[in-house]
Amino acid sequence: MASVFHRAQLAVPVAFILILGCVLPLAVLLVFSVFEVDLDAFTLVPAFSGQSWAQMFVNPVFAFLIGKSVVSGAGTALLAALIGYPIAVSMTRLPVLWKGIGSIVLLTPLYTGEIVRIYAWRVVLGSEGLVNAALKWLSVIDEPLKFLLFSPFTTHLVLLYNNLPFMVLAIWISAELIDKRLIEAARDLGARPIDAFFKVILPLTTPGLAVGVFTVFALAAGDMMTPSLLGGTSGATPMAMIYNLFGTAFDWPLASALSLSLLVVLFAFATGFVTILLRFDGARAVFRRGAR
Amino acid sequence: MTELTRRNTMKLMSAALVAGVSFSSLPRKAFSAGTITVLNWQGYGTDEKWSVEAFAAKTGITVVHDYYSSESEMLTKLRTNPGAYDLVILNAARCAQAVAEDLLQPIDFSKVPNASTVDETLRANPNFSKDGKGYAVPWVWGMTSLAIREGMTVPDSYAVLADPAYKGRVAMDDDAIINVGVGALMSGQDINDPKDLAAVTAALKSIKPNVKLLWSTEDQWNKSFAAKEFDLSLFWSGGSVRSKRVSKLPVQFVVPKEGGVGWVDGLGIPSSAPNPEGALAFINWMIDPTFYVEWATKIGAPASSNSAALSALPADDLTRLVHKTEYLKTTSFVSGIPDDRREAFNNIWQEVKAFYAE
Repeated sequence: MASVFHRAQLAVPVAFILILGCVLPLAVLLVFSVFEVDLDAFTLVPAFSGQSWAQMFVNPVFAFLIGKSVVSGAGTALLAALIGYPIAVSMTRLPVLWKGIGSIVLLTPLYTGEIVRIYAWRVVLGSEGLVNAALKWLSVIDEPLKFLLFSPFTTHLVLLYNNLPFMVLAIWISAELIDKRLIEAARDLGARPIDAFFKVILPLTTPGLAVGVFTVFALAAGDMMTPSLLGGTSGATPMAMIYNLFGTAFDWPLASALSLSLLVVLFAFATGFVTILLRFDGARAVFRRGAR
Repeated sequence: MTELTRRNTMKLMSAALVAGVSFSSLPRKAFSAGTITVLNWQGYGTDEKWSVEAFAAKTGITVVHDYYSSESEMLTKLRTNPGAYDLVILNAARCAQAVAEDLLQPIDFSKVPNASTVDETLRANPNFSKDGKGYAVPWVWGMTSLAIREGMTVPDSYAVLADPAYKGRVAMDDDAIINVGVGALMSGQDINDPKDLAAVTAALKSIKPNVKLLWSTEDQWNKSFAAKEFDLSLFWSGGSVRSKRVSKLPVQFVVPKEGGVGWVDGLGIPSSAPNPEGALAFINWMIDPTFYVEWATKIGAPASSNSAALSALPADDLTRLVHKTEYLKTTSFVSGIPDDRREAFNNIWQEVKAFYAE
């Protein structure tokens, strides 16, 4: 007789992969965070020391960097939502062929490596880059605009550029699933386009918006390469510090404590954003419909 | 007598296989008097094919290599493989530690004739000696100091890093030890043991308005300098030579009155070396002007510790021009730094970086 699989049994392989790839490494980090370091022998000394965790609360540098990361991620997610939402919704109205072209245009930048994109931006925004050269040629400026490269402006511009496709895709998929008859019904009942948007389209696309916000926030807040290579002195991030602590400084306990602190804070904020978004009635309706 | 059954044959074959695998996985030992095993970074002078062949032709000694990818790995290999290596290349900052752990044996300088012209400042480096005995022969050296765009006023002090004339035109090396060293020099202190860490922090923070970027790789430095993103920077002496020679960048390396933050690599013989005589002969070859001129001009090398070798370079050679022997008088060389101090240096640099980012 064929054995009957329960839902729980079907989840075993996924659970196994999650434990192996996620829970186990985090457990290792937790263990490392209470170890001590012998720099002479370049070894980790097993000990139950709270020194690294104390640093998280005592040293203001860590709080500053984690806070900076949260602000950077939230700012990028907000801008991506504001810019990406109209793009995604308008893409649903395109003919099939143009939808295909639109998705290619949207995804093509992701096929080039991150380093390639970063150096391309340096060519565009540098002191002798395309933007400054064009502005000089148009006699708008005499001296190159210094803020264009190696500044917070550069970092946020490139973070937005890199992560916008994820926001657009998430909202677009959500918008495509809306039953067009609901919008027609709203219009028939006398709703103005703006009312139809706020009462029908926006609530029904909040799950996509939530996914987009979660994804973009996580990617932007956790990016090390962009701030390091384009941010100049503003490029200090917790990730860069973790990289340094695991590498040159050989302070694995502190690196582990910082990694876990960052993870907890970012996860808390991301979950908070998504929870707020999913409190919309429309979002609940979508999930109820999906559960049936 | 054991019967030669199929099972016993399999046991014998398995034992032979295990023994073979175990033997082959050991670091290659110098089994004959005509072989030495060198432990070094890969592609760092000692393993140049032409050089090894020339040395073998001259002495009959074959040079075999094993490599490390970090200084911690190098120390671990020395500790855990006694008798495996005849020669090790190690930084002065790590040498004192190796000597303290009895991992190196004293050098018989009478058997290294070329050592007679090794610069006295480098030979006197306290990290290379203990109780009046030398445990490593200084091999090559370099330093971090100021690099400025050609045609600009040549600075004579690190104070220029805080000069308002360079607002937003300075690049710093993203390295804690180097920056704390420069901060120490700016505040008139010893780079290896600055007593007033607050003064070091203040000195580094004072240059905030001028700092445009922090670089961590030579390629990053070259690209940003070529794009005219900065004019003044902390940079490596060897890096400035490569930037000028290979990338044709208009860079001038300057050592101010406070001196550079220097490093020096030495050639040491492990205490359990099977062939110390062969190692001494190879050390002599490594600081020989014949080898050095070829290495420096054809491949590119740091500055030789042997002033005779450095002088043998063409008069207009960039390596020679950048690494003037008089700089050694003012250069402060990085030593082994104790755990607590290293941690303090890292904390200072992280604090300064966060301050720059505000």
